[in-house]
Amino acid sequence: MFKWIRTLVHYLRTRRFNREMFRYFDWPLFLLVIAISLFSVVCIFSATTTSVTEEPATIMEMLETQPTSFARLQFFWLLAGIVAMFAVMYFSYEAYGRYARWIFIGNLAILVFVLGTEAGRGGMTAFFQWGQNRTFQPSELGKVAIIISLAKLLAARKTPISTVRELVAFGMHVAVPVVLIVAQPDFGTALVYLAIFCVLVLVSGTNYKLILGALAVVVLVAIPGWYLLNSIGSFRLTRILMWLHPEDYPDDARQVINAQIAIGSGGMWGKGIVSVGSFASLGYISDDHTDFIFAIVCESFGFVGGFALVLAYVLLLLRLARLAVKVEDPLGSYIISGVLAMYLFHIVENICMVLGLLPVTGIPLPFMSYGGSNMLTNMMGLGLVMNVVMRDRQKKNQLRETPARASRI
Amino acid sequence: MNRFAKKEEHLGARPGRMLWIVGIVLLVCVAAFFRMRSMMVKSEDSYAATAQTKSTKTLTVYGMRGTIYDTNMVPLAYDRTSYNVAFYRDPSKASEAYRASYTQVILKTIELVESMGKSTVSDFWLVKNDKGQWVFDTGSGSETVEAKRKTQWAGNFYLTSYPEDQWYDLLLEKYQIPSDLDEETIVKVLAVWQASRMSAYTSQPVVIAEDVGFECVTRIEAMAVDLDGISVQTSSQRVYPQGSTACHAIGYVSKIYDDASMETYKAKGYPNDATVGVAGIEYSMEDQLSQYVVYRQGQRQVEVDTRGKVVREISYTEPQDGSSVVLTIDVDLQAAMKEALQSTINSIHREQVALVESESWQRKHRDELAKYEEQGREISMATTGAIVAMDPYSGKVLGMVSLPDFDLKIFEGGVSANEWSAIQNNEDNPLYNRCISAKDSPGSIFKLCTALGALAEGDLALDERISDEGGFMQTDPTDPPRCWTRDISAHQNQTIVEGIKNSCNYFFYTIGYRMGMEKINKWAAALGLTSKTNIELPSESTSFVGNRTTLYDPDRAITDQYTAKPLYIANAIKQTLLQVGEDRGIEYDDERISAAVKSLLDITTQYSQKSDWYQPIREVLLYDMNIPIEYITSHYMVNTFVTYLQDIYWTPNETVMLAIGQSITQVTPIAVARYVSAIVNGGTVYDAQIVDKIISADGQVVLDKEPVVANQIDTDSAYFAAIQEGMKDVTSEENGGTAARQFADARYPIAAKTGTSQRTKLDVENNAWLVAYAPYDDPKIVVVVYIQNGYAGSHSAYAAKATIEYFLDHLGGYDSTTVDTEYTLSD
Repeated sequence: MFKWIRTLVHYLRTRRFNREMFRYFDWPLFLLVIAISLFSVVCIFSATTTSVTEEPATIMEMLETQPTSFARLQFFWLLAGIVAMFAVMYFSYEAYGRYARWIFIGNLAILVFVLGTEAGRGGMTAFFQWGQNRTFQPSELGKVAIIISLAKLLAARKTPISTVRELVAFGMHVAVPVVLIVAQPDFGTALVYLAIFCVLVLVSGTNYKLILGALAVVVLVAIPGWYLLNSIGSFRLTRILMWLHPEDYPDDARQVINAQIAIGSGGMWGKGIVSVGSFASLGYISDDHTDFIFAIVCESFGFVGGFALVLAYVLLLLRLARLAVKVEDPLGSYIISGVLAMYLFHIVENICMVLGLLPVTGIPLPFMSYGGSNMLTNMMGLGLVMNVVMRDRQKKNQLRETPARASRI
Repeated sequence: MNRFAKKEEHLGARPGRMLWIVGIVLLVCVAAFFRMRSMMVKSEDSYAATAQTKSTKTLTVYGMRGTIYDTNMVPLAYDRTSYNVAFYRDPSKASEAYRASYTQVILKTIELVESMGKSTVSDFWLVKNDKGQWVFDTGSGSETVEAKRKTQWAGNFYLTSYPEDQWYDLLLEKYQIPSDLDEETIVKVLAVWQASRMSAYTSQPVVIAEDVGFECVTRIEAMAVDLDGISVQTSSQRVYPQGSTACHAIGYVSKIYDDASMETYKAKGYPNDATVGVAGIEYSMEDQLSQYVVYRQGQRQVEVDTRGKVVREISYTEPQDGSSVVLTIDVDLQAAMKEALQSTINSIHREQVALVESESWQRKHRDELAKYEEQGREISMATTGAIVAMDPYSGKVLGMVSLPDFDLKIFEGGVSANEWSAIQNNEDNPLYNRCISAKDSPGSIFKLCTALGALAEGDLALDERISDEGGFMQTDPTDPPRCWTRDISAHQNQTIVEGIKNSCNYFFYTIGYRMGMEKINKWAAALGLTSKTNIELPSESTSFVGNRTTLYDPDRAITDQYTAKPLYIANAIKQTLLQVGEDRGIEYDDERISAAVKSLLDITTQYSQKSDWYQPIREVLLYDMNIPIEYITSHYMVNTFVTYLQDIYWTPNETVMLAIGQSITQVTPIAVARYVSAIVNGGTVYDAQIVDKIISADGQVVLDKEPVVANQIDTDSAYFAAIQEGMKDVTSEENGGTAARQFADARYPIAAKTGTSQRTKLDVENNAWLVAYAPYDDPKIVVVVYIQNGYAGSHSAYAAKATIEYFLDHLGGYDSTTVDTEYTLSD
């Protein structure tokens, strides 16, 4: 037992952070995220403004007359997120890979445990309560856990998944937490897990026949599933119908309808951070500082601001795709792909739902939506990416340098 | 390419596969670009317009209802500012948790409002029936209305697909009503939810408690954080500062309850919760007083946040208050008249009670009293009455009081069910304005009309003398009508002046007989006794005077005759015919009998001689009813029917009764007031007038009403002078007038005429009329007193005298010099 701990400590010590690694820090990625996050602080401020009868003349007047608590908290979460990012970077991702099994089991345990708590917001057993009105959502952190677990499983393989049995075995690892999360019930987060799984299956080189076969199975299951939803009158079905015909559900689709009106009325340049009669200030869009923040971006900063944000996300995702490909270590590469998958799903689903291109699922926009758990999760994901990138680059440099030193000896 | 190839050997993310991801990213980016461009660049304007309509509302704002003033600008009815509590559910907060918190807010609000002694809305359309089930019932009583409301209600509560017996429980669950509440509170909470749901389409706060008072407002505002959805609105509330004084003239306001008038008012632009006048001036001057008429409405375009709270005013057009109405009546005179009339009624009532209890009276009326006993009838005595004071030279009503009256204050803020049913169940009907709605037989006050007609038509000369000879033999020698007096020696050698002074029936039988029915009717019409006075008040009755048509009009339905006489007769005939059918074992159908009855009644108008009736009656019975001639003769049917029918046959005897104001003539106090005014002013018949001026909210006099002349009688002024002299002598002691004693101590020279019309064979049940004017030589005021079952006209003199004295003391300017001196002294 004592020995086991000593080995662990020795292992971690050899794989901890050293300052030299900062040479390999991926500044473009980091600065992009920080830029988006700071923009988020401004947008959350805009979303939580109260109605005004005339536009404030100066920034000071604006800050004095409007509530800033959400914006300040978000800024605090950003700082906490950066700390979390560095914490994740401290020990090598290889260590996480080594203990992936334990991370996976621990994640399952905590997901089972949370089901035993009392139902909270929205009737979901998805939170641990702490402090006053503060909650912690284990399925958020679980995203990071599932990325590590799946990446490790794939990296351990010598060949891509090539048989149904292998795919099913791999799939079981994601199916179990997904079932636990659906039981909460939290379909949005469960979909994120599935997205991570799908992206990893795709990029790991699983052959197309298998992928197409699996898709065919999904479609075959989906058709009776649709009728089942129809017969039980689930609200998930309603959400899909609402998306197709929002005008038929004036009460339920109010959020989407109002969000789209806000977006459209933003015009080319937007109405400004604090503006008279904006939907942001009148509170017409519920959750406008969390899930529907993109509507506020468009209303306040117009087409220019909104599309700039979209481009920033495109850059972020393309950067991650490039890094995933460039990293030589399979574990590292899969980890980056997993994080990419997580961001991708969140960004695409969130922006498209606000724009009315996809049905509504309650998932936030990374680095933009207000919320501590989400900010921490995304920052930890970023930490993982940095972890991989820095250590990978260091290794490559060492490889390049080592022969020179050897020749000298 | 080289690097990619190399990479392919390793495991990890395959670049080729990563291209899919890149593809997805770019695809979504392009999709977002086009979507955003189409929304924000191409259709910015339409979205901006939608945003504008979504976040702004145009609210209709109303001013206040106009004030009703008396002639001295003393307010009789006005609007004051009031505060209402309103509730609005943020439509985006529709989840169960929000409903639960709203229910808590509603509970707190109810508690708060009730702690201030006010109450919240109570209308809830599920009612517990005898069996303890909650059933839909809005209490409208109409099946179609109920069905319509039920569909709408269930739809608004999303209950359409559930059976009715589950509705109550479903609502409890849906609105998260705490289970520890008592039923009364639950219904109050659900009533608020109902108000909210039933007006959800307006997207505006709905009033849940009216006129809560300023203290309640401050408490609600202090608790604003805990009362999400609750707001305070400013409104107005009708106030009736004078209580019961002039209540019939003023009238009152109420919410609109029946669907038909709701349609009418909505067409004029009224909102659903408008209060409208339903009686008196409030009703008749509704268009002038109301603040709801379209052109008086203001508009407020505001921006509202999602909680329905107004955050910004975009535009505002000020509403206009309703116009004010100035009446011709004086509130102090009203009070004095009311007191005078009440004490007169009380004293007559006391006198009647004493009389009825006296042995001599009971002995005298023994037979009649036995009949009353048998029929369970009670002797009617004076409890009600009306008094009208009018300016004889304009038709302006100076005061009008109908008793019993009611307290207008109970209508402030809506009358409570208890108070309303108390008024409704009062046998004396306090809401009934006897001054304009009550019609009764005038008795001797009609003699002024007969007198003027006879003089003007030349049927009587000013110097002609007629002596009372006891029975008047010309019309009915078998039972000749007589004068009321027992001492005919006092009624000898009477000119018109003495005739009026003595109110000698014999005198008026004589001149009435000379004139005939047509001429009397002509003069009654000329003096305005057969038409409405057009006073600006609702439900004025039309007076009418006895003649062939008013006795029985063959062109009117049997149920729509001037008097009930034809109906009684028709019923009696019908009963007889039915009896015949029973005897003969034949069942006549209703239509056949009705047709026969009508033919029989019409016979009275088709033949001038009663002796001509026998043949046609027999024919109707023979041919229309197929009754055998033997049966008709053996049962003396024709004779029976002739007896029946002669009651609706105009006879000369009827004419002489008409001349003294008996017969079937019925007049309203207000009509009498203008008729006497015409006698006093020398022949100008004015429309009665109670509205003096209408003043718009900005102070402009919109209408300054001039007297309206309904008819101008063109005849010798000496005739009027003679009648006036007769009226003067009525109050004169040395001339032994009929009301001399009652006016003996009058401080002003008063002329009068009494009227006592017989209703039954009991003298205490006689109706009392008294008309008077003063001062005799310079008339300022005409007063009409009418007391149903008032025993005798002269008994009501006190009310007239007190009214005249109060008026001339305070208002008439009759002795204005004294008032002037007083002013100079105080200066």
